[in-house]
Amino acid sequence: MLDKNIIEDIFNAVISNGGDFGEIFLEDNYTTEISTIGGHIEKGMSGRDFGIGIRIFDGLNSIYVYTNDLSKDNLIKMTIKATMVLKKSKRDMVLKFDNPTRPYIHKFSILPRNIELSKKLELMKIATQGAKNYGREITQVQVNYIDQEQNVLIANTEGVYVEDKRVRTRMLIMAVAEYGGQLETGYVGPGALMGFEFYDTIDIEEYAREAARIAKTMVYADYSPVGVMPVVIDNGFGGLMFHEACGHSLEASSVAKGVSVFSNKLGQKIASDVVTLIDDGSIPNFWGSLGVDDEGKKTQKNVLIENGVLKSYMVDKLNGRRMGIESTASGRRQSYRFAPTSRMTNTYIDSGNNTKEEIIANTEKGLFAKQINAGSVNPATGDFNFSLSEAYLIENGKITKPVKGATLIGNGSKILMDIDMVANNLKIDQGYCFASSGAIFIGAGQPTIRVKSMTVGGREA
Amino acid sequence: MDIDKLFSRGKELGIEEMEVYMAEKCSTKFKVYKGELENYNLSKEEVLSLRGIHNGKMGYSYTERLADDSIDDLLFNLIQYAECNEREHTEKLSAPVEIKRKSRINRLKLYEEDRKIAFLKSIEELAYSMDERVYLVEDCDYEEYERSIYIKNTKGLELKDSYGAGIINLSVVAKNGEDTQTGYIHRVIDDLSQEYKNDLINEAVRDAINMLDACSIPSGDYKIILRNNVAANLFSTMCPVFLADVIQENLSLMKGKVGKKVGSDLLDIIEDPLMDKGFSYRTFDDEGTPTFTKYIVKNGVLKTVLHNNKTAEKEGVNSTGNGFRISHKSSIGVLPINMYIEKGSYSLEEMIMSLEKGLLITDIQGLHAGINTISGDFSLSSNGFLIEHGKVIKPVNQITIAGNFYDMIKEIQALGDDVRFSTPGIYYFGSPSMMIDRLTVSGN
Repeated sequence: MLDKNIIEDIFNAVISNGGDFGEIFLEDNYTTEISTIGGHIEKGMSGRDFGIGIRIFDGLNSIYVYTNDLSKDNLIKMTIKATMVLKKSKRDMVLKFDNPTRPYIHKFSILPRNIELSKKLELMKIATQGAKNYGREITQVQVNYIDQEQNVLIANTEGVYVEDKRVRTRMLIMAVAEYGGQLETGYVGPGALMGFEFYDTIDIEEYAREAARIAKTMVYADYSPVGVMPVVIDNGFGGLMFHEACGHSLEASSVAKGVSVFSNKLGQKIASDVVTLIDDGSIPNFWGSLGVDDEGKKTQKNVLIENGVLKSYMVDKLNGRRMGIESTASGRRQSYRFAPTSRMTNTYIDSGNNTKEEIIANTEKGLFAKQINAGSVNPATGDFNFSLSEAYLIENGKITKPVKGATLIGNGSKILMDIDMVANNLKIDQGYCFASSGAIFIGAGQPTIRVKSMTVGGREA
Repeated sequence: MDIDKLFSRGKELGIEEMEVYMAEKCSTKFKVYKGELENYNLSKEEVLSLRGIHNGKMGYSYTERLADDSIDDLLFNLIQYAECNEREHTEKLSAPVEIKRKSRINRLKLYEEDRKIAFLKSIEELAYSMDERVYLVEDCDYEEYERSIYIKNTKGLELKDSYGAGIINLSVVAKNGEDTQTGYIHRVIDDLSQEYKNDLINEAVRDAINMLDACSIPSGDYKIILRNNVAANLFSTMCPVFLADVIQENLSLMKGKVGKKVGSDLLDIIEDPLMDKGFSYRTFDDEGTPTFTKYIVKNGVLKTVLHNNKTAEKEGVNSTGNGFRISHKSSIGVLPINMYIEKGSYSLEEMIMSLEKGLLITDIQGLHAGINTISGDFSLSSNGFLIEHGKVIKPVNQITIAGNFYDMIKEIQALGDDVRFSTPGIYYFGSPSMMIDRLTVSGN
């Protein structure tokens, strides 16, 4: 993808100006992102992202350069200009690297760029129709289609020289229901680290009906009660709660400087016994998976919390230097425009011993959170929030009427101790995560779980 | 890339009209940490977006690889898009226009880089010296960018504009025993002034320190003051309801409300792409329409919504010069450049003093999820202060505030004189602090 001599010249420029580590991340990414409203193509386009990011370390300080002008002159000029800020002299270092390796572990059969746009649009129309046909309440259907073929080349002065291909496909379906002047939305977003063959493995119409079902259910719902109560969170994307409540606070980017509530707590009990939290970027063809991370290290399964005890953080190269530990293959970035940092891949709570039915039956009065919309966290305080897109009351051990407009808030270190039941129905869904190294693709999952008590916010006081 | 070659190859393939949009951006970004330059970023990029009419339909494509070997890919992607485009209203390419406005001068370019680094280091140092409970200045970074836009089409339109600005981010962690709280600010700057420096430090440090030992309060309805930063971020998230493309797709309850009362008499909302201290400054939009300053809401009445050529034609009105792309990867939509609520007459202190019992909200989280931009319902995790008898009583956290945006803007009871802009993003929105009759608070 880039002449080896140019890579060597860049690294020599790095070393000559006092850098102790150099890395390049070259990206060539064929993308299609289109959105339809009511089945008509409305926005987006196909194209090609192309550029290089060059990273340099000097101890714990770092430099990042990016550009899409790949002429040798420009690359060397920018590298020298940036490394001048180090005000250091030449390092002694010998460069050695052969040919790039391709440790592909995920298989792709149909590259989306070889599929005509009209075929993609056809699928979007099927989804639109599927949702519309669900009921007369469905007044609008918006579908976003995304595919990417991201080819990367990663090399560094420590001898890493790898290529990775990440092919991703996803469709986001949003149905709007209207009743009595009220508008509510339902939303699903199936996706995978797969090519266009993904659509042979799923029934897109079924997903569309699910989006419509949520919208229709919620448009007839009353506002959620508010206050402190037990909350049962269903399997699947409910795992986003752990992504927010503790995932971000276990990323080395907040742990390394002692900011995180979980800094210096390895080996300590931070969650109740029933909680085992895993981050695994190597699950074959999962949405949040990669062959190698964006620093060129093969992805792996990291057990973060085991039966309530903190076992590991998610670590990237630079923060690993600060902490004196190895990377856990957690270095990720949106594109060549971002320096990588520690991020999640597929993060989930492992299955427990209860059944979903037991959990509901054992809850006298509370809230059943069936679908989570999205959330966020302040890693320093651990305060998190997320909003629900589908929720029900639990009364006398039974799920009763739907309620809307609920937000769950809490504190990560407290809530982990308050989880008292975990079911055996693990499911991992797809989402995005936004942080300092950009928007990345993540999996979030869990079995059905119960939180003893939690603050539910909403409009009805 | 040779644009004439692109156009002539396009004509060969049967594309009737074409337009390129090229954006060039250079940026420098750095971060100081405990007195050292911890991180330094440098970037230079040039990207190209193409649109063109094929068999009467508009098609789009883009590339970041600006070499002649990208020409065929660009054109074939455009044709495929046009073939899938079923819309009746096709946007038209603009004929040549004369832009009378001059570009804004970027004062930050006058300073040497060492001065900027020293300025940032002094901010960090001052933040630490403000209060011994400042545990960490987590982020103290400066970003400066210069962007130029070039549009050329086969009808003879050729326009160029450039602008730039700086942004400082400061986030502070305060600790008192086991309790940790944070304060942060993102601010667009156009100079290295003492005034900016004081403002930044005061806000970030004050928010972190004052929030120490916060606790929850009982659930109930409260009178609310949304501090300027909170109101700005809330309005920024709801901003799409004023955009014609969103309205025409039935995704905004502002539909059919032009000329009607939508807010309190106190509410005036302005969109000004030519604002001197804005995040961006545009003399023409991405369709080549000259931009101008306008009222969107005046005395609570919706005067106009924002339009591009296509949405304007559908309604038989003129474009408001808001036909912009979010990026080179998006087609032309409708976007504001700088939008703000005009200031009122009270200071924040006066508003607090007038409150018998209520809450001052100083931070909200989870805006990307906690607002339903279609229904206007919101429920947001918040921090702030309990106010009784006109005095600040104690800091409050672990609560949510909830209400409906459309109801809330009718219930604005007072506006402050302290306009502050939201975090720079897609919708850059300014607002003064505002007093709201009633919002629902969920606490303990």
